[in-house]
Amino acid sequence: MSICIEEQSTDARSARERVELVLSRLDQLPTLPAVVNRLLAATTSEDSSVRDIVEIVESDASLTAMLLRMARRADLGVRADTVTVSRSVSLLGFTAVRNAVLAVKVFECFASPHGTPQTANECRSQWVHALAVACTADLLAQQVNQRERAGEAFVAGLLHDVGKMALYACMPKAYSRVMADAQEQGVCVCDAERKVFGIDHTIAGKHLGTRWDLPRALVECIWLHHQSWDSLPSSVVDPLLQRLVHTADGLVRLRGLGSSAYCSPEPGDQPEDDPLFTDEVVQHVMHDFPKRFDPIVEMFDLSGPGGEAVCSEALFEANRKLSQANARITEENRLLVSRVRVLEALHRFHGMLHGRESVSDVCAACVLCLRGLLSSDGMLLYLGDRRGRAVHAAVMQPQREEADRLYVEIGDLSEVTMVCRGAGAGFTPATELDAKVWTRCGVGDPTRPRWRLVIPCGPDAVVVLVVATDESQIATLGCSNADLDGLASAFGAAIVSSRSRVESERTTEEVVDLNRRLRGAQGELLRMKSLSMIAAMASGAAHEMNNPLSVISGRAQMELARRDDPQLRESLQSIVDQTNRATGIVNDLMAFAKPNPPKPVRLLLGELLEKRRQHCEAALGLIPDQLAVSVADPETTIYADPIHVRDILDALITNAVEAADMDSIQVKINSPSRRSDETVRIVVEDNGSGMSRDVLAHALDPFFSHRPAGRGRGLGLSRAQRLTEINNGRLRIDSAPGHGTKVTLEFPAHA
Amino acid sequence: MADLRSKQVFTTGEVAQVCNVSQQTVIRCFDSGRLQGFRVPGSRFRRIPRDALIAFMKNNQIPLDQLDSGRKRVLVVDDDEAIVEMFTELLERDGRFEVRTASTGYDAGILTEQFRPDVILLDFKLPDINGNVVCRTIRSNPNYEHMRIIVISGVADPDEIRELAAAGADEFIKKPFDINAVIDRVAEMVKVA
Repeated sequence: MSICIEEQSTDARSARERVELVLSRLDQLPTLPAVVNRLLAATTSEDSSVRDIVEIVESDASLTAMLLRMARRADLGVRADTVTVSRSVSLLGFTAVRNAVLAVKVFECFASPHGTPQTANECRSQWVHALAVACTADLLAQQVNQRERAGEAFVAGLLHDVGKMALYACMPKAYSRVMADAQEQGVCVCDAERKVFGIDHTIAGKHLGTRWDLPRALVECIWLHHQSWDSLPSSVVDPLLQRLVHTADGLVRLRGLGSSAYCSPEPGDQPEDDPLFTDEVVQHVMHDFPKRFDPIVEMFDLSGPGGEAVCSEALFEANRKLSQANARITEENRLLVSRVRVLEALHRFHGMLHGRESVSDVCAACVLCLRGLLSSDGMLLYLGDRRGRAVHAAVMQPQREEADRLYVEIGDLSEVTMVCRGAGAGFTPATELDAKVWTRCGVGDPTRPRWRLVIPCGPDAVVVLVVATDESQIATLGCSNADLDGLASAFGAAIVSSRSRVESERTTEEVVDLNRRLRGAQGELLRMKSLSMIAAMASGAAHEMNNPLSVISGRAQMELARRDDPQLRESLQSIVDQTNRATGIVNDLMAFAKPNPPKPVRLLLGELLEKRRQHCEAALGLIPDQLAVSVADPETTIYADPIHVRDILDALITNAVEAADMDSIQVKINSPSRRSDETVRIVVEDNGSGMSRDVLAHALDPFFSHRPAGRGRGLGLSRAQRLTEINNGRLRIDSAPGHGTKVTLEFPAHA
Repeated sequence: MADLRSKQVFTTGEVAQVCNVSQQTVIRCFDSGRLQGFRVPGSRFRRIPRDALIAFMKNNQIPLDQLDSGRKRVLVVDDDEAIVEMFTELLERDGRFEVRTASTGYDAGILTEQFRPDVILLDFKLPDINGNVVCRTIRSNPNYEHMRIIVISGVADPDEIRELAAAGADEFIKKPFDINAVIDRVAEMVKVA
């Protein structure tokens, strides 16, 4: 300072002239565009809206461009092509917009058309410093509870050294000298400036600010930012603002905030302890500074190298995206290839089937098909019914060309519910049940790792494909679960259709058989019906005959009581006898037609047959041994009406005796050992001449008698059969000419 | 006299004759109610129905031989004419029986009421109605309690026989039959009555 005073006194006029010169130079700088003022006013005013700001911004093309660029760079998740000014303004906020506009516009003024890299660098340094101070001032304001002033503080900080920038812009060489002097001589910049220019940057700044019509508080800040707080003129409009900026400036320089090239502390930059800004405040500010500073620096594109970086970054990004796309395509391609393989396999599978194979065949085809896709140490496909105990299995032993077909009993298939839940999950690890079936079917080595693929086959069946192979094989197969699902479904459908076809074939066979039996039963029924009809007719006729017979008999009896003539009496008696006989026939017919309902009881076979033998022997006048009885187990019982059985046996024995060879009658009655628990057989055999086929066909017809001589009533066999049937038994006659006749009775053993 | 056996309604004089008492006694019995009867409508004449008279006579132990011929009355019911003729001849020739015949269940019903048989020989299968229905109808009437029913039939089904017994038949005879046996059975039955 002393130097300047000295000089001033001797060179006062030239000094003042020099000042004027400088000032006039400064005047040559372009004015701050009106837009900036308007924007300043708008952003600080409380009733301006986004629309106002947008209008202002859009009125200036370069502002618009800059704002849009900032919005993109702000990395606010905005897509590059949808950014509009209004969105940018909304996103960035008024304050940011103002600060940005201001900074840019102001510094644009100083952009020299022929900027060298040094000047560009220098500009940047000034920017950075200004931003640092602005941030610091902002933070300070917040820390001392002057939040609402923070914005203003920011602006003030931003513009505080505008004088320097102006001087540098106007007279770069001179200013460089100033800088050099300051550094060499260790004087503060202001002094050096005054020496060279006659004014220092604060005055220059004030001058410029006034010219630009900046708000008074701001101008004063620019002018007085080097004054400490207790030496401010009292006419200062906003002392706080000044204090904020001053402290901020000092802090930046002292603490190296922002690390701009411009931060070398100046002598006289000792922190005069401003009571407003305590150490604590300073600490907070220091702490918060990077958070505030870094984004802003980035927003103004000051941290990085510049345009080329953006370009290369874009290129890099594009490259990255391209490689991603490439990877995706490769992956899809791979999936498609595997899908094609699966489809080819399916095609082969369908080629193997021709629509008439059994379930085992289909299973074998499935296994063969999969073998074409996957190499393994053995494959097994088993098919079980939920309710059953056995499974169809198709086994592909390793190294074989054909699949073996098996049908094995596994036992309880109750795991089935668990098993079926695997469908649709691709290859899953095999279960206990799989291991069991695997071992039972004797496939390869059971301890190898196994995978299973569940094949959906409807709710009742379970079909599982089990493979002994490594995980790597499955991976190389490369099929997605969807593809495997498709394959499994195709297998499942084929199996289901073959099963249902097989089932329908079984059903058809059963139907045919049932049909056949039905015909037999119908024939039987018809015979019985006709027999019943005959019987009913016979019974009706018999009943009718009773009346005339009664009259004949009665009248004859009455005459008998009256007449004495012995011949006449004989005649009449004969009449009575014959009517009785006729009545006998009639009764037989009626009994035949409607036998008494059976009252079955348990009869001991041995006892029964012996009694009949005795009775018939006596009744038919046989000698012993002509009628022989043999019973395998005399304790056997039959369940039938005793009277009926008696009549049946008597009729049969009588017939047999009559048919037997007259010279040596041999009739055998025997009961062979039982074939089943349900029935007991009794056989009556004779050694007669037997019956020819025609005779045999009619043997059971009522009143049919082939006997040439003698006349039986002809009802014996028919009645015997009828009685047998109503006791739930069966009667069968076997006879051949020359071989005698054998009648087999079958009675139920118990109720 | 012969009329008395078939008369259905008696005057007090006839009653007196039959019972061998004076007419006055009869009138007094009538008026006191010991003898049931009715008055001819529009007059003062007394009339006594046959069964009231018989009941009165039985109650007072007056012998019935004047009313009764002493012969047992048999009703033969069968739709076969030959059978009916035979029975009629058989029974009348015996001398102990008085016979009436019916060929349908309906006629049987009417004659039972009119003729008051002691025995009914009933064929089981009648054209209009089943024998056991006739049995049951007769049995359901307390007035016929004393009548014996013998069912004659060609059928020998034990179930049917049981059914008939349950319906009220007293005896069962099969066709054709021994005529003497039948007569004896009939006579036996009415002796009890």
